[in-house]
Amino acid sequence: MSKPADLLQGTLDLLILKVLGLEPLNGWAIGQRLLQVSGEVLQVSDGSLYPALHKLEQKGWIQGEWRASENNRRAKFYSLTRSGRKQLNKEMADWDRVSAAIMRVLTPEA
Amino acid sequence: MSSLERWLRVVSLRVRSLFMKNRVEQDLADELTFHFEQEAQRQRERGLSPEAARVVVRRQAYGLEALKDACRDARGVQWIDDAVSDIRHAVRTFQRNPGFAISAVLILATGIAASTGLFAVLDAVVLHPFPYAGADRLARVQLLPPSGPVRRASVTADEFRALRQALTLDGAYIREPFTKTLGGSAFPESVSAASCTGNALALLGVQPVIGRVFTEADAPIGPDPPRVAVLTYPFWQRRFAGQPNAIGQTLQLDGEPFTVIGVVPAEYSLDLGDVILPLPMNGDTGATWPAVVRVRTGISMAAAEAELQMLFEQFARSRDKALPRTFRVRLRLLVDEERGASHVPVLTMLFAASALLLLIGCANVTILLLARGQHRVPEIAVRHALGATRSRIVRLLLCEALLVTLAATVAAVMAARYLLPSLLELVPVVIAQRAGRSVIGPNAISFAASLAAVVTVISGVWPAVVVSRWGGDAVRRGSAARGSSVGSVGSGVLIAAQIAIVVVLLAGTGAAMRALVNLYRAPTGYDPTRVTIAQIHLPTNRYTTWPERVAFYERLRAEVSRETVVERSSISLIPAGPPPLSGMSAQIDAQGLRDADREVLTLSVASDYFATLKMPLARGRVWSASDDARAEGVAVINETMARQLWPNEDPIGKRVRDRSFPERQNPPWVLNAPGRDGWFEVVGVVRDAPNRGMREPIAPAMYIPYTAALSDVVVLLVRTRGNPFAAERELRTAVSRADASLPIIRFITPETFMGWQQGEFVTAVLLGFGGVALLLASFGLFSVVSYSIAHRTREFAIRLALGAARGTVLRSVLQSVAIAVGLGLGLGLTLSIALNSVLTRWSIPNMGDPSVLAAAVGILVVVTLAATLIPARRATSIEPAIALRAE
Repeated sequence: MSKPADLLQGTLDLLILKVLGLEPLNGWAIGQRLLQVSGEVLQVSDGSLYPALHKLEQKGWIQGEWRASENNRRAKFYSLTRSGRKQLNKEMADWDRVSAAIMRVLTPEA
Repeated sequence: MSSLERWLRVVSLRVRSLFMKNRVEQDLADELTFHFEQEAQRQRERGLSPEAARVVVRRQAYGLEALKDACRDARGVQWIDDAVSDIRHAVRTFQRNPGFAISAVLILATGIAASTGLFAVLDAVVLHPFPYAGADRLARVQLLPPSGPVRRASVTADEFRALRQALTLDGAYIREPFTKTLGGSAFPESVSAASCTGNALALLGVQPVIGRVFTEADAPIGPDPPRVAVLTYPFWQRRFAGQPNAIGQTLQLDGEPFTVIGVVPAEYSLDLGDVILPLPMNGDTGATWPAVVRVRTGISMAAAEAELQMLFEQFARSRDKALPRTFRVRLRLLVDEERGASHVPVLTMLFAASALLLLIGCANVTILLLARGQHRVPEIAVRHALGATRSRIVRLLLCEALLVTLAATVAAVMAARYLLPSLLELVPVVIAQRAGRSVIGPNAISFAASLAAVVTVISGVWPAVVVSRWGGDAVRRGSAARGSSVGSVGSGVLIAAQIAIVVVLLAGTGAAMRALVNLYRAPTGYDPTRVTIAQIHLPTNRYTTWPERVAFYERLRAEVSRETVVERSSISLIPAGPPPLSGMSAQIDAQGLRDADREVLTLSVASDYFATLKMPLARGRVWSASDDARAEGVAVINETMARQLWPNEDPIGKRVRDRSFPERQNPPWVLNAPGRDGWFEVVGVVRDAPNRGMREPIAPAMYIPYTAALSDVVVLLVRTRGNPFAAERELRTAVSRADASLPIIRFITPETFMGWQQGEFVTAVLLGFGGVALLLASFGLFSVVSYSIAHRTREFAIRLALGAARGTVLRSVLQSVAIAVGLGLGLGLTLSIALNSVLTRWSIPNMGDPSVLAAAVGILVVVTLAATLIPARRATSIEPAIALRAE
């Protein structure tokens, strides 16, 4: 299955890590949160979200835990691990560097 | 440590994914179900339209599985699952169609077994010839005088001490081979012994199996060492039946008792013989020994040579005679010596031939895979239609190829392991003693494994890609009819490549056979029929004076000639023997002699040597038996020497002096005749006979009475009346009548020393390879033609129904094959001629020979015609009505 190109490669990972850095969430809630925080701009399809979550879990950056959801159903909640937090900081720094560079390219006068 | 923590979590997750699959799957399903329910609820809260409801339902029904797949892929263990199911599928396929699997495995196993076996031999002979620690840094010290031959640098006891201390060296050791007679039982036995300095075994890293190895304390420099012996494993097994109580027992060697202190592994027996003894190094006698040094790791050869240069110049100042005045020190690596041996190119060539055989096998398996793929197009099309990706199908097909190769490799390693020991028996001693050490061990097995990987890529990738494309095509065409034909350009190329390789192999085989025939026909200079030779070593402590030794040798000759099986017999001293065995290299003086002519071979032989071997005399006479007894200063020279030294003069009556003569005296091993000065008068000229092997040009040679300098190793030359092998018992009896304590080392017949065995061995191996290659290539051709006819049955049927002549149909089958075969022949001939110039430096110079090439092509044409026509005839026997109805 190929990944949809609706988000810049690797950006989804960063967004997930960032969102989970605030509080543990289940997969559906992560999608909702991203939509909400981005002002309804970033709509992540479940075809991208869940594979990304499983990949991050395999890499040991987030861990899953089965808990009751708000409506009292069993759901898998993801939270950031210690190495996940380190990875988040690293990716944030990378992002800053790259986006600053892109900005410099786009606005050469500044 | 967060990285450790993370690593542990990752590992536990992977393990869970692999081994608790049901649980993981259930979790995944639960997680996604929860997601869809939440989604549905959200839709409901927004006011669910019937349209939206259907979307949600459809996503649950169809999207769920795809999403699950994507998640599984993301977990990174999916490929293992896939591989397991691929393997299961491949095994099932082979069970359904064992004919294919068996022939593919057999074809590849033949090639892999041949390559692996020869690799094992090359590994033992060339890559790792010595079982020692740091073997690639062991070197002999050589001295290069400004002119003349290279000399081995021998050292005295004091010099050895200094040499060991050299800064660029790990150390130095001396190993002197001896033959000793083992007494103390009913029959005397000849054992090979190595006398070593006390540090040798430790320096070489030799560890005992039981007991201990001797140390410096056991072999002091100066005083006579204690009589202790270390055994090598095979001798321990033979003599003591592998009993541990051998330690402490005594061996009678040349009548002296030696106490056994340890046993070392079998791998050392080739270099160290049966028993290892401490070397007596009495510094007072001025005796010298050739030393072997080990250069320190990281030190360059040049640096070590520079230090040794200074050291040996120092040695040369303190002893004036034995070393040349000026010289350059050179270190000659033992492994280079071994790799420079004449049999190495022969083995390399055979290895290359086995690789060609394997290549043909690969081409064959490719053809088989393609042909089989053709039948599987419908199956693959169905897989495609069900959503399998192209890469997934390629992986499935590759997995089948891999399985075939793996099975072939396992079979090949087992076969090589089982067969190698008995095949090594057939390898002639002259090719490589070290070949006997070859085993299918870790090196050979990892070689076979890498071969398997290469073979899979060569034979598997292309068919997998092509067949998966056929499947895709079939889906797009909307019919499961077969894809493109096997008889296409691809298999044409394969056939051409196979034919080309077979031409090269056959040309090589033909060239080897021709070389062998030439060798048989080469002038031997004597009559080798029913000749046998045997080596006899005297014990060191008997016959130690010249008169005693002469008397004994004469008695030996008399006893041997009394046997009725003996037509005629004589003796010579090692290294002289029947042609083409070499003599001893010597520098001579003679009146008006040019420097270039000083170097001749001297052969110490008895007067009846020439009569026994039937070597014709060109002029003059041979000395008499009484000249032998008196060690008269007379000589017979060969025609080359007569021509070189005295081109326009009569050589009879000329006088020459052997400069090395005084140096030969080396009691108790070599005893010079009393009062001899090394001057010899030429009394006869004998016809040329090869004296440096069968391939080298004949060197000037001088035959002198063997009694002039009596060594302790004598060669018995016998022309028997009947089969020489049958005479062995009588000859042993005769020798034991002369001295009952004397063992005979071994009997050799001319097949060995004439180089015939080597030629026969090479020819036999190449014949085998060539035959198998021919068989494989015709099998490949046969399959291609059969499959292409099966494929085109419908087309032929239509053409026949429309009135085409059967001959026309047949011709259209043969046309494409003929082009491929023709191309292959052309390529093969070109390659053979090109390779000829490369191989000339090796052993087989006749690959470009027109008659050899013509023979190879002739055989190929006949075989390929048969392999094509037999299946092609089926095309003409098609009954159009039946064939068309069957479609």
